Amino acid sequence: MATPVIRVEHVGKRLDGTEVLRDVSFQVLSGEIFVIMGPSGTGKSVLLKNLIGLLRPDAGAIYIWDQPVHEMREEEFDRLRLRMGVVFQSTALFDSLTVGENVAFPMRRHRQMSGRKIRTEVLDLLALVGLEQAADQLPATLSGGMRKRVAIARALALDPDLIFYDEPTSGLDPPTSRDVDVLIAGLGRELGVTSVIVTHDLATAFGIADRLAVLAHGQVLAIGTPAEVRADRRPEVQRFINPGGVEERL
Amino acid sequence: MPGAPVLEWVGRTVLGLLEDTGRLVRLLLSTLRWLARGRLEARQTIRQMEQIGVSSLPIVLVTGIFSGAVLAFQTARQLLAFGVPGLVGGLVALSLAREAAPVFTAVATAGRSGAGIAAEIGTMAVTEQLDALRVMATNPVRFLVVPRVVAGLLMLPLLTLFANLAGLVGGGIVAALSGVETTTFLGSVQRFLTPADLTAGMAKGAVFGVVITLVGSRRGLDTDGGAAGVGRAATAAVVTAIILILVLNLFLDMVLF
Repeated sequence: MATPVIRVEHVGKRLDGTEVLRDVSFQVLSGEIFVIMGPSGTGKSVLLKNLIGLLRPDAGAIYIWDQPVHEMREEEFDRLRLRMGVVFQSTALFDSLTVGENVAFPMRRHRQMSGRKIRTEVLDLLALVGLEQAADQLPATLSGGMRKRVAIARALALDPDLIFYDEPTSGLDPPTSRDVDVLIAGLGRELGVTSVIVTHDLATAFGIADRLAVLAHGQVLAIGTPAEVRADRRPEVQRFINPGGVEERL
Repeated sequence: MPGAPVLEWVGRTVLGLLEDTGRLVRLLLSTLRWLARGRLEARQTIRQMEQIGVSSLPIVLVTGIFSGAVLAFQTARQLLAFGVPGLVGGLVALSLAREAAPVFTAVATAGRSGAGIAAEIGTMAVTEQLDALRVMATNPVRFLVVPRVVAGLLMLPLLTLFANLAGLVGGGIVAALSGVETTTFLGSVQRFLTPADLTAGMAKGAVFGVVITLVGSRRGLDTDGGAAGVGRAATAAVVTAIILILVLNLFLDMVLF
């Protein structure tokens, strides 16, 4: 049985006096694609920020590789971060650097590598996401889908064991969204990386998840394989996973 | 109570000022901690020295030339009336070295580089680039703030020195046009201006350099609210830095002269 990479235990978080997360618990297993899904404004991104250490929980505990990250100092967390990659919703690419320099950034900071070796690895990573020809372009000259791919390449730069994706398909058209899904799923399966994806995109969630958690009003409503979650007949779960078409609701 | 809103406003303003000061001091301490550990990003620092120093040189030279010119214009008129042209150069040089060069250089740099620092870091804040730095195990203070503060500390004294030279050129020209001979002007400068005056002015510049870069960085790091927030951060950085420069200038005068 796969070992848990992440253990979230009874996590609570308040922001500006509002309870955003309440008693959230789940585990992410090694090598799986775990999706945290739910409607907008339900605390998904806050949960992700707690997982990657940009926020600390007010209650409960988070363990990554059995390390209690909820109580870690920033510099201790940095050691774990060298084994993680994060793809931000806005991509968060450095707009003053070229695509190649963006991907090279983590390598230059944390690996003792020659410039030539870095260049080779950057081109390999860009080839992996189908963008080797864009190495010398600035991010602003790329489409939204291409920028997401660059962000994924940068997240892979330190050969991570764990990757977090925040709304990887937001702002993309449906075909591009599915391309990104295929890329994420492919990387997860080929590289054996554990992937945690936060999304409100049902196609992403049910298309590539090994397991998923449905979050609503800061709480985990359901957790399981896509088939198990689909089979959950509770109205609050069905309301999100099967919202119905506009015509039905008019 | 009729005075209550005023009291409330005063209280809020004082609390806000104290909070701002506290955040600024915390950033200064964090910067000093990274420096004490010898963790200086050389490439970033050189880039910032170019941004803050070399790129600010034109505006500093223009500011210096016209500061010296105005000082010479005013003093020459008065002193020629009293028949003491030999004091013009000295007065211009001392005013420049002690006050005009460091303060005007700092104000010009605050407008140019302080706003730029706040806008650049602020844009990074609202586009998650600061978060990206953190998750790539890169401390934003170490990577962004320390190089800027070091660049400000090193470049403002040099800019101040250039402003002095430019001011003397501008002052010399206007003095000559007003009827003070150039040899008299330069002789007066030599007689009155001491190296201590120049270095004290440059020391002021160093303090102002830290203030400008630290305030710009603080405002940038605290930015939220999208493009409008970036604009507010840039404006606030300039206003705060200029106020601090003027206040600190008084205290530095008391200590240095």
